[in-house]
Amino acid sequence: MVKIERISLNKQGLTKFFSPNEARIMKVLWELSHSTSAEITRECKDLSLPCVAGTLDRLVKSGFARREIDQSENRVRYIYYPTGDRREIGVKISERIIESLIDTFGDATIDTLGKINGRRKNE
Amino acid sequence: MNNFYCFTFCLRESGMIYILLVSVALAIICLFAYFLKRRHEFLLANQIFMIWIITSSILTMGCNMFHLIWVYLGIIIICVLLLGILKLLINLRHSNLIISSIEIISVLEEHFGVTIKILDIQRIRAYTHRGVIYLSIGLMERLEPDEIKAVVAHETYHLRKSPNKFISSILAMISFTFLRHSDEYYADRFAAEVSGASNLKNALRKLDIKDYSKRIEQLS
Repeated sequence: MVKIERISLNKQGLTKFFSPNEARIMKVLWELSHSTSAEITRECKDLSLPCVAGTLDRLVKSGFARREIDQSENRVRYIYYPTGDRREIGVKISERIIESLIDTFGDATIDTLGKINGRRKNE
Repeated sequence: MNNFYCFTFCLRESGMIYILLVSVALAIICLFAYFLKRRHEFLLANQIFMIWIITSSILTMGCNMFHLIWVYLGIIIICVLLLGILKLLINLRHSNLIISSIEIISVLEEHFGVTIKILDIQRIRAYTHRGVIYLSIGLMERLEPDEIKAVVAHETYHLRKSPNKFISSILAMISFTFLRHSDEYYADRFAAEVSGASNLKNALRKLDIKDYSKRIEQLS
């Protein structure tokens, strides 16, 4: 799961929670629904195959992707799948962050969430 | 009475404890070197361990027999534990196996007369262990069939013609020398002959193996 110490709120988009390479690869996985490391390398042209493979390995270990062994076409290779769509991953990350905030600030976090929710509804 | 007069040195009671502590520290260094795959450092740490055992034997030569037995027993227990942990680590490396019957592997097994097993890991791994060639999926998905054949040919050479690594390591350890790496050169030559130099070169390049440019140059 996302490590709190890796979150950088000053960055843009998914790179707040993932490294730039992880974010790009997650986008490709969401787009294609499943993919091999070679296909992802073709999509992310400036990344090398070893870099993509290593990043995919990290994503599998951190639970954002899973892999299955494919033995078709007389080859052995991994096929990678995202463990959830963008929204589901968003829920997981939000839960982790909000739980951490509640642990530290208690009711103040819950009150703030209520206020933000109300403000959004009014908008 | 707390002093032990040993050889020309004098060790206090705590001296025995220090000998054991140093032995434990050296054993941990050996394990770390193995775990980090630092082959030379692992051998060097083992050689230092051996020198330490010889030195501590001299230091404790005139010591009280009762204490001496405990020190040696301690060192033996450390050595046994070290070997046990090493064996465990080696076995763990082979725990992610797929029993597979895919065509490309069966063909290579038949062609080279070897047993090939596939490791379910993304890292690039190709090695031999107890008469079996291990290839990782990470390696297989990066190479074309002909390049995989070159890798298998290289490992077959190690399996058939290379000197036993365990015995070589023991010999290097007790003679305080290092292992030679010329074996890789001959394995490359054999693989190039069997599967074509271009396939081996491509495999080395794709896998980004350490010193690959030097090895490619040697093949030319």
